Amino acid sequence: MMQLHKMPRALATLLALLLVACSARDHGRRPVDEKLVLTLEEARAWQHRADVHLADSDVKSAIADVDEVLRVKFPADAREGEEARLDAWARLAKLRVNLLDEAGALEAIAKGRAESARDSFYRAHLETVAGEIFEARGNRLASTDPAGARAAREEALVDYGRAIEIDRRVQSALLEDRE
Amino acid sequence: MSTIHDDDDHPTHEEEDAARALADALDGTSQRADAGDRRAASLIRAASGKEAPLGDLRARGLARAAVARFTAIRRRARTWRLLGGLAVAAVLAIAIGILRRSPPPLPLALCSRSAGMLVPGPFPPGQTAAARLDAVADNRLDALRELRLRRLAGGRR
Repeated sequence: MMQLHKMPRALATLLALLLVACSARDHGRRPVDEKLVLTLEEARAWQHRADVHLADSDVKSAIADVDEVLRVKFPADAREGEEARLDAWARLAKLRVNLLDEAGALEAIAKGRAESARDSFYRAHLETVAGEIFEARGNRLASTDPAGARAAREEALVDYGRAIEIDRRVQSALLEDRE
Repeated sequence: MSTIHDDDDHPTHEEEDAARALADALDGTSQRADAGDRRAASLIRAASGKEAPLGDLRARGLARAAVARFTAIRRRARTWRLLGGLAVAAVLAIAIGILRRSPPPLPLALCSRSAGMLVPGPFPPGQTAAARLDAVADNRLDALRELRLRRLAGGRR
């Protein structure tokens, strides 16, 4: 027979288990809410502003716009926010390359890599942009520094390979979900 | 220097007095037996299984006290069992109520998630980040409207 002094603890455990069982019915899903939509709307507005500035060849203003995307406070556990930020890091890297700021571009790539927690098409895109940066460096050095150009092209191949691997993993995961 | 005692010697007066006091203590009649004698007598009686019998009054008192204590323990245990049972029943009722009232899990299309096949990769070179965000933001806005409609419909029921 259960000892009397253990009964309150047993009841508390039972209650906790039931509450966990009840909360597990949500399957860990977070419904779309106003905050998520508003932050996505804000981010898209900044990206469109960057497009408009680029139409006038104003790369610096476009960079400032994309920087604003990275200041948007997306809900902490929203995948959409994480992906919007990865896309912003990738675009920032491309824009910095346009300003011939390769170090700044690679810094943006590194920051994007550091904050990405899982595979996604956006994560793969970041690797593609990294590959493009090194490919461009290889082309730039081809006539003056063949060894440097070769090294840059090898780095580009590694980054493109990484992008392909991530894309494949994401695609097969999505296909498995559909089956 | 210690004295050597011979067992064949006649007892001394002190030994005879001590033996008498111990015998009286064993009978339980002595008024003059000291604490040591009484304790020794009690040990001897206990060792031989001849503990002094309890008086009727004392025996009844002890029995009544034991019965009262047992009854109190049993009553307390019954109360606890009853309270425990009630608490378990209450918890189960609450849990069942929550489970019956909670709606079925939301479809994935109405939940926050990766853009996935909405913006499939690898991204085409001509596609801008703004275009990708357009697709995702529009889709989530539709989901939010759908959720609001569902809530309104649920509220009317």
